[in-house]
Amino acid sequence: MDQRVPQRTLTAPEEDGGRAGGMGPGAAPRAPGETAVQAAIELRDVYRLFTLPRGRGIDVFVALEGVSLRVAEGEFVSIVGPSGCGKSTILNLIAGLLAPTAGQVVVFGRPVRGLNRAVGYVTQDDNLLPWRTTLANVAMPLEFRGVPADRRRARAAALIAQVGLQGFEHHYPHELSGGMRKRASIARTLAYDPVALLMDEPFGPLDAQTRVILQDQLLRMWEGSGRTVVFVTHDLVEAVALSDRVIVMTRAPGRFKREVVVDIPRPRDVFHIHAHPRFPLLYEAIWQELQEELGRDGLGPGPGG
Amino acid sequence: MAVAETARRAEVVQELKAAVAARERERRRRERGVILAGRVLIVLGLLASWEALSGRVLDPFFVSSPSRITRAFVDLLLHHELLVHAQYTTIETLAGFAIGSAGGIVLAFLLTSLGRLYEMTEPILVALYGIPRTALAPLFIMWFGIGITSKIVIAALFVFFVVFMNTVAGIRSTSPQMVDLVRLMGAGGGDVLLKVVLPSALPYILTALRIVVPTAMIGAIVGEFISAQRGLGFLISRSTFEFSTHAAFAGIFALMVVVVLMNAAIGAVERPLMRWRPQQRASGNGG
Repeated sequence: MDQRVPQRTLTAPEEDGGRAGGMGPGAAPRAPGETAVQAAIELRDVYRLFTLPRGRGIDVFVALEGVSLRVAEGEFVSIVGPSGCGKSTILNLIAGLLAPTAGQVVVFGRPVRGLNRAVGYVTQDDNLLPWRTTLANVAMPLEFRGVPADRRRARAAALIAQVGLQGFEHHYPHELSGGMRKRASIARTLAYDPVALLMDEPFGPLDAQTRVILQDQLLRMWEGSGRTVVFVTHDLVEAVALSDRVIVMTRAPGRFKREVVVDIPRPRDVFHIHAHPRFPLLYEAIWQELQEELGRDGLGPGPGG
Repeated sequence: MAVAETARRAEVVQELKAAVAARERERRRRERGVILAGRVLIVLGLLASWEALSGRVLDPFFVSSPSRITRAFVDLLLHHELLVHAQYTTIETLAGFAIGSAGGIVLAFLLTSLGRLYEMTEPILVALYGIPRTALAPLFIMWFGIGITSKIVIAALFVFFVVFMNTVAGIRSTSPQMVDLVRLMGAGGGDVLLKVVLPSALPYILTALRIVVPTAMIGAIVGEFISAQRGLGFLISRSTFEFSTHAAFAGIFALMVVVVLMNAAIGAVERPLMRWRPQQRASGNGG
């Protein structure tokens, strides 16, 4: 049995030393250090190990190895990294769906224990209930909170209009396109107004045009909302276009490798983000870091997500 | 000039649309007609060859013939209380179906909801499931008498395991990620069960209910064969003992009618419940 107990003396979290040097004087560095300001989301030296059955024994797999992260309130942070590097695990830890094996996850000053209902979670699959219409899906979180039927209908209808789905309130998910289902799923998550949004490759399965349109819509809904977003993606263009900061992870066991501050001013035009003079430099900086992680053993993804 | 051109095209498109739609409607209508005619012809052909072969190649004493069966059917209907027998069997089947299905569904939810109870009881249930239920039927007659109760219990027993196993499979098919997300959205345990797990399991449950209608009838008939004074099973078994093949066939025909009606009823219940699913149309099958 290969059960390594996580030790603090293993690799130190790298994000401190790894911040993008000289990435624009205009970008205020959001310190991962010891600022007095309370972070919206904070991971403190988090380890997460998974067990996998293997024959008669059990394999232990290290998904996260000493990850520390501070996300300021209202900040949009993307996490990129090779497949299986523990990106989704980080979101699951913040949502309280998983508990850290060691270390602490703190959301708005409170350690996460059990389900963290302060956050909204948008997954790669839309996870709409197929037996509910758009309206009933979007109204669902309000239903659980005991909001009266007429008020939740009104709120759901407003959100549906906001994501551009008016006219499809009474359609079932199978009658909608992938992009429309994604809009409905985002509207549903916003229905209960979570302070932070966790997004796990939300636009991954969509076609290129739809993806950009939804990125634009997401930005317009986010800007000025004060909502904190942690966004996992494989798409570096998307990461640069949307985020204040992009964190690059190492391949498994996942550690933070470097962060790049995206100093493109807002509001941004995602349709022409490539045309911004800063874009190629930022993209290249992230890609260089990522390439090192992919390059060593090709593109072989590790186990887990 | 350009405006006129646009208007002309719109007109052409209108005409084409109407023509294409009409052609498609006509094609479908004809296709449905062909299938229906084919069905009728096949049935008539089978009946005609049965009629023709019976008495020439086959001994009508053993295989009877459609005309004799029809006469026997009318005779039973008019003089021997066919409807009463059919009513008994229908009641036994429906009651057994309802009790067995409800029991299977409820037990499946109980065992999968309470900790590891399902894993604990699974070997016992599988062992019980392995017993040929026909072998148990005489015991049930002994315990519950030769009246209607024993047939209902036997029919319920025939139905129970199939519904139970399918419901467990349906509950297991619920997406764990969906459950996680719904809980994150504020759902309590009851919400998850009623609004996520139950609808997820529903297609499995409905499939089981559909499969199990004839199964319930088998249970009722087995019970009647063993010991009864009424019911279509009793009628068939008595007719066979009396070497009245045509009456036996008439009873079997009545059974078929009852099952077809019950299946139609299940379909009528199922359709509105399954409206959220993408339609899976068998091509050309008019429903």
